[in-house]
Amino acid sequence: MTKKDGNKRNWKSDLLPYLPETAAKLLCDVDAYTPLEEIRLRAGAPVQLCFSGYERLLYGSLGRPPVDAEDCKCMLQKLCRQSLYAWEGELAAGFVTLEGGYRVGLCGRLDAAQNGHATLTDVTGFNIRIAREVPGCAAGILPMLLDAEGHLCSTLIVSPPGCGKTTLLRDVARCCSYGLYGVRPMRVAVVDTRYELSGAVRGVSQLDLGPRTDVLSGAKRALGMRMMVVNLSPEILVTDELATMEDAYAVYDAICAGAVVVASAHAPDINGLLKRRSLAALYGGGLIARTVFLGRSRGVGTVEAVFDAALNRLDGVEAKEVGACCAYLPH
Amino acid sequence: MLRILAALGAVCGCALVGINASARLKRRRDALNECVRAVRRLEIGVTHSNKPVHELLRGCGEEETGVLFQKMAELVEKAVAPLAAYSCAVQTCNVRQIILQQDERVLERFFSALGASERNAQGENAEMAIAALTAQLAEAETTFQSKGRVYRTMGVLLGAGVGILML
Repeated sequence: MTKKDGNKRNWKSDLLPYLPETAAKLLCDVDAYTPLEEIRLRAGAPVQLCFSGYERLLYGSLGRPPVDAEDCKCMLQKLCRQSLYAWEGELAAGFVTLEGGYRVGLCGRLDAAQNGHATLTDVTGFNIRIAREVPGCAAGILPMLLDAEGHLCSTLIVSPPGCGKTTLLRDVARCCSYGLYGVRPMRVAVVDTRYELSGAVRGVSQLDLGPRTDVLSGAKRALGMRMMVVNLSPEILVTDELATMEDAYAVYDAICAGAVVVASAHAPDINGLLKRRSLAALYGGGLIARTVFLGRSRGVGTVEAVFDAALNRLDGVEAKEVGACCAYLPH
Repeated sequence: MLRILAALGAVCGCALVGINASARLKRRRDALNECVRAVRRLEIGVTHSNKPVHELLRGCGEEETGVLFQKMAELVEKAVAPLAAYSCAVQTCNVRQIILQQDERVLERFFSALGASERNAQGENAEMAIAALTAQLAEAETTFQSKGRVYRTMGVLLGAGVGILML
């Protein structure tokens, strides 16, 4: 799972210690190498396991829900290592990231505090997204991201949630950093707002992003991109989930400053993408030279289409599967 | 000759009991002093750093309470809640001789809330604990000053009395 110990670790060894006892017992029976994508726990409800293309509900003994509100409280404490104050920013944003890059989305009561900061209290729902490194999943797509002179183009990877954007983005960063698949080795800067790309724990990247990669984790995207461009002079700037106009301006600034930006964004298709004002703005000036659409038509991580700067579809990429980014990997 | 030895033994024994009782009062005072400093350190760590509780606990202990906080840090690192870790550590580290029940109650209240809320609340929790511990410390200091000397003197005098009677 991590670069330190290859594939010996799996989601069971990483996550079960955090889960309530009853839920952990139920999950003991699940194969560690099934294509599990998410584990959802809710107080008073069964445990929901989301696999690639199907799901399962796990009930406790006598059909009782295996998790109650008290379990959720304890679980949150464990996720935050008994130190909620240290995760204050993340809790306000509704997530916690665990060692190994697992993002845990939180749900509960949002308490608008007097100091203007909203705080998530009474957390009663968890969505644990299973992080997976799939080294080489960008191999098929990387040649399409090069221009005629062999330089990497600024690229936006687009898909609905859960289609493998982050996994692909991570591998693109890794390949560029190592100089694999026709790309020369380059200095890569990763702005990892939600700690998913690097799985960073206290600044130390847990996932392999290559030897020439600098990671700024936890920073706001736009601010982080500007800091990276100014301070670390990256050749490639990688970031996840562009969403706001501020992000778009930061991408614009970075590209104008000479960096190649590879980023991801949520959108179902090209029309949906262009309806998002912040993202559409990037296409006005032709800043984004490649747009990759991911989907699930042939499994998670299917490349549905690749477009050029003028949003013309590039040849030979129709529903091409470049690697099931989040799919089951035999060990 | 034997009588003299027995009398000397009685003097020394009684004096030791007195000194021991006095030393226990001193240890409580020192332990409470260390606890106040430890809570202060925890407060600073919690409000000004992103370090988790177990790392902060590691840097808290001194002479009397060093083992206690070390044990707590180990337990909290293994995902045990701070209050449960404290209860367990108190039992294993045998500090009940020096930390009295009323001191324990203050520490229990503090550890029950440690790490379980955001920074401001953590700061307030620590301030409350420091205030309560400081009051206990003042009481422990007074007790040591007044009773400590009494215990020592009484031990020696009692020993001397028993010795004289034996002779």
